Amino acid sequence: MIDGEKTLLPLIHFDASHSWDALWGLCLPFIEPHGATMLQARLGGITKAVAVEKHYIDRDFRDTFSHYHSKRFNTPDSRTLRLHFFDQPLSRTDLLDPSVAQSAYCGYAVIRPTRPSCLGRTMLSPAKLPDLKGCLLRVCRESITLHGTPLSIEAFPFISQDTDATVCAQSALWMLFRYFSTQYSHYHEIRPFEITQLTKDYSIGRVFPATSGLTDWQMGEACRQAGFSPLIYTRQGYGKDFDHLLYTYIESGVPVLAATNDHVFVALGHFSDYAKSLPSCDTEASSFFNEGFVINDDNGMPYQRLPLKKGVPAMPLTTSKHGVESLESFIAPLPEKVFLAAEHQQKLVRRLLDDGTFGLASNSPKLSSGQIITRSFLTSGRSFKRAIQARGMGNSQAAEILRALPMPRFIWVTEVALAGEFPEKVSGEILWDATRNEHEVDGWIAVHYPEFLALDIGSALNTLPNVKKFTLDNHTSYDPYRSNLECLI
Amino acid sequence: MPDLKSTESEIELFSGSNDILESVFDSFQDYERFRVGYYESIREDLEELAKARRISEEEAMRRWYR
Repeated sequence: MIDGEKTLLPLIHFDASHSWDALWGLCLPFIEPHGATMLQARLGGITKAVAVEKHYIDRDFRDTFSHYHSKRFNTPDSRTLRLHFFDQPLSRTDLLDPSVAQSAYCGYAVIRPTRPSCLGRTMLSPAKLPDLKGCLLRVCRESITLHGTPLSIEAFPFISQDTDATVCAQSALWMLFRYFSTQYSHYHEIRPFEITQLTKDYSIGRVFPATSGLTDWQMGEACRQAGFSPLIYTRQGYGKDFDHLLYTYIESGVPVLAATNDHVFVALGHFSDYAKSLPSCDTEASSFFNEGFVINDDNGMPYQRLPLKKGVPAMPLTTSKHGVESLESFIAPLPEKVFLAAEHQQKLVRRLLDDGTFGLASNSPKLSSGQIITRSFLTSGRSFKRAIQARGMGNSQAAEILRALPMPRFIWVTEVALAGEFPEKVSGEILWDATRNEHEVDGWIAVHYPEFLALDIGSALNTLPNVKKFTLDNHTSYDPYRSNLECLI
Repeated sequence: MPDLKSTESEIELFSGSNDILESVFDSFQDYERFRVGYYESIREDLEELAKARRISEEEAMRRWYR
């Protein structure tokens, strides 16, 4: 049924006589086959109603229109359509009730009058998508209004390339930048044309139209111009550690620009198989369990799975044709105050765990008796402290000390767990100051095992190092830190 | 204005914490010896990582994404 077909907000209910084809009929002449296929594949099976918001002025397309299309002889429409998807058959009256509309809301997609792909700014809730069950990923919250009804959506931004302002490189940069500006108020919103201008001092020849694409170096520069402190990693440079470092940044809640030999997309989450048999070794990183990443690829649909191996996927469209093994580089857009990179933190912590003074063997009978899993990630000192009360940290005095200890803006955390208890429980962690550099080997903040807690109180108080230790009794395992990524269950 | 009665070294993380925390090193010199030894043990690893970064940055101008 189509309610108000000729109005500015037709509402289509999917039933025996009206389905996706009827929706695409309402979207002419904006819709094209690629965009229709991607949306239908992504939302098929869950969509029960769609509101078609006509004459929507999309700020991203209007930006491209103003700087490019308006200067051409033959111009497309300057306005767009915005489709709002619901997983319940809402009535027009239901749309006026924020609580009813919100509970059924799956997100929106802007349909631009562009070819070869019409999919503009798209925010779809991953929590509504059953094929993503078990994935952990990063989302941001956006508030919108639909004909006056306030709604919110938690999603990772997606856009397809228009080949005018954006090819895959600019699309990936847009998705990354839009995530940060939506999630954090100190990053300003950057629109497609502005992205093309970020590399104008680092390009040969013209930067617009953006058909020539960008290199890793230029994308890194664009990130720097946008206020980030990017680091570029290549498989050739980091070899066997490359996949682990990529996983570590994703685990940190830092979406990255991941690239194959000729294509780039955003990696924003991961999925693991914790039933995998561990090799016989004393310590294994949690990246061992990783089965792939969740990506937003402008050539595909939002939230594709990127498996470890490339090939013809069993679930085309929801699974990428690329694989983790085909990644050649990635760019981690780190916040300005993260001076210690993942690879340095990993080396420093591995050395500390084996150390005679602070290591496991000297200080933790419990952890040195079995196989250990380590999980490393970056977070803010504030977020880490916020979770202490709920997690308990295995011992009330350890929790009290960690809560009271002054901490920097960003910290690296390496959780230590017994293999049999991971990923449900951990037994300790090493906190490292992310504002240190790699040559400051004493940049750790706290070393916490079930029986032992060491702190550098001097550095925490901005004086000379003064390392103290504390013996812990009655320690229990406790929940891992989970605030970096959204777990889809 | 009241007299200054406490110094940074007397600050407690919680009431009584300084009574239960014990020093790991006998002196600052002991600490420095530990730190230098620690750095020396990891120096080669850091040099390897510096090499990996140089390779990555050189390679960063090679591939085009469009």
